[in-house]
Amino acid sequence: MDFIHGHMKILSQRRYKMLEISLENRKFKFNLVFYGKLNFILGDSGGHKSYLAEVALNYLDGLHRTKGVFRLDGKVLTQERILVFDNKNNLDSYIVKLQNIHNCVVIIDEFCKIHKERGFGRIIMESDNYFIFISRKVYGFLPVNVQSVYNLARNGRMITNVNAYSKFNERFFGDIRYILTEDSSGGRQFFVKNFPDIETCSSFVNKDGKKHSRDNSQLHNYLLQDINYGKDNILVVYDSSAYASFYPLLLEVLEECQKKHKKIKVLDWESFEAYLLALPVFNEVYGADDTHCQFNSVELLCESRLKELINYNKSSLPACFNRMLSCGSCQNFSTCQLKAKLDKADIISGVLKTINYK
Amino acid sequence: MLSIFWGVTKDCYYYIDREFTEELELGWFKEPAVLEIIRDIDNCVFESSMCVDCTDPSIIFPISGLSTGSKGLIMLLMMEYDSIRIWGTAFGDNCSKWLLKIAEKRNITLELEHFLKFPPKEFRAYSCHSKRMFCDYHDYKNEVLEYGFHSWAYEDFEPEEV
Repeated sequence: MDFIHGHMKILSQRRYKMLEISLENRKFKFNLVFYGKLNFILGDSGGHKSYLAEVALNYLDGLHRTKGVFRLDGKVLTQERILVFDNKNNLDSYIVKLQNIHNCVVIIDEFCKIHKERGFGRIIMESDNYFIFISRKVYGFLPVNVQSVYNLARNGRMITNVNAYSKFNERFFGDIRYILTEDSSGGRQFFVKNFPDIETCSSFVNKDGKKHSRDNSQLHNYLLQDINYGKDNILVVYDSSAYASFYPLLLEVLEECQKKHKKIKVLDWESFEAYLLALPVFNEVYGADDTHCQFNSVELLCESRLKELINYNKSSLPACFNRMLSCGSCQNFSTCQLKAKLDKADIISGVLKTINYK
Repeated sequence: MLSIFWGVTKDCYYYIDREFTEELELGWFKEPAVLEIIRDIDNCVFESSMCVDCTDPSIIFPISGLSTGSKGLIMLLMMEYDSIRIWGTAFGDNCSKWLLKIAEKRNITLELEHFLKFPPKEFRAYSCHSKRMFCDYHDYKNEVLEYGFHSWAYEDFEPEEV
């Protein structure tokens, strides 16, 4: 994959980096747009979700009243590259198909037997195809972007997809006394090193007498525990590129926080790695549409890119991004563009600058 | 009574569209409650053996075109059973008030793999996980946050013994 350098180039290319589906029959017209590899359509009953799969199948079977166009990156897809997995075929045929197709669009109905397959998550993660899941749940074992979850909205005969969840996109943090991160890796260490005067959550949690690393599936419970222990003015940090499954749970806890008059702010960046790449020193901005079907999430794309640039390892924060340390004596890399260009003050960027810190 | 169970078992009515096709009796669509359900969930009325969209009456479709949620509700209402286990994740939030209403007179276990929301004031259900009635809707939400979400978050989740 060619990585794009520079903000402006990415924006101009972004226009075509999407999956567009247009399907029409006598009753309805579906006009849908998706970004990235993993997409989910949720929603109430009667919302025409399953009907979308039916119409797509009718289109593939050449029914006369059904017309359609699928576009990927602006190019029309041939029918061989569009598949619909319903509940009618046997499981083996779906798995064999997935192993033998690439860069295709796969619509998976909620009753398809593949959902029950052991190792379903691994099959999807290893597949380099685009997926649209018609479902009522977003699997926690798939890294689904908060912005890749949709409802279908009907306006007359037109049906479009709209974001089911929204990013918080907070612009001001102010007085923060406690930072709660979703996991124990480099992202947490970034806050520990760069905001030493603000308490950051521990790297592990005690449960059943054992130490466990933090993970995003339990972030809502960590927040609940912390507010019950009296914490307030909390900044909750998570990677929205992989948090969709747990987003509704966090919303419930935030409602509880509001009832208890707790001050909570949310930093829902795409991922810590995406934040680093967007810093002035790299100036590379990535979103869901940049992942194509080769990366399961923006986080994984950015992790791969940082590994290329600075041999990045997710489990620990490179000294480069600790504004308290000078890179001058660093011997880690024989040549380092970062050392030549990095202004340590730029490490705290964007909305993080609004945190009151010394 | 409505019971909440996290995960899916072999005994549950899972393939609801196909089960509905097997169970369907045309007489069901003479029942006022059934007509009310399809009006509420699918925004349609039943006329001359077809469903007619209320927003655009030129859109007609057979009973098979009803949503899975509607079909599930109709089965729960019209089938004869002492108790039934059904895949609750086939139901959208707009079905939950109907589930509570039907469960006033029937024994229904919802096998859930998602956070199904209910109207808080009407909520009354039994927790198969805690083996007691939920105190209130807040109690149910707490169970979702602490345990229920495992059923869709973790690929290796195993339902508890029935």
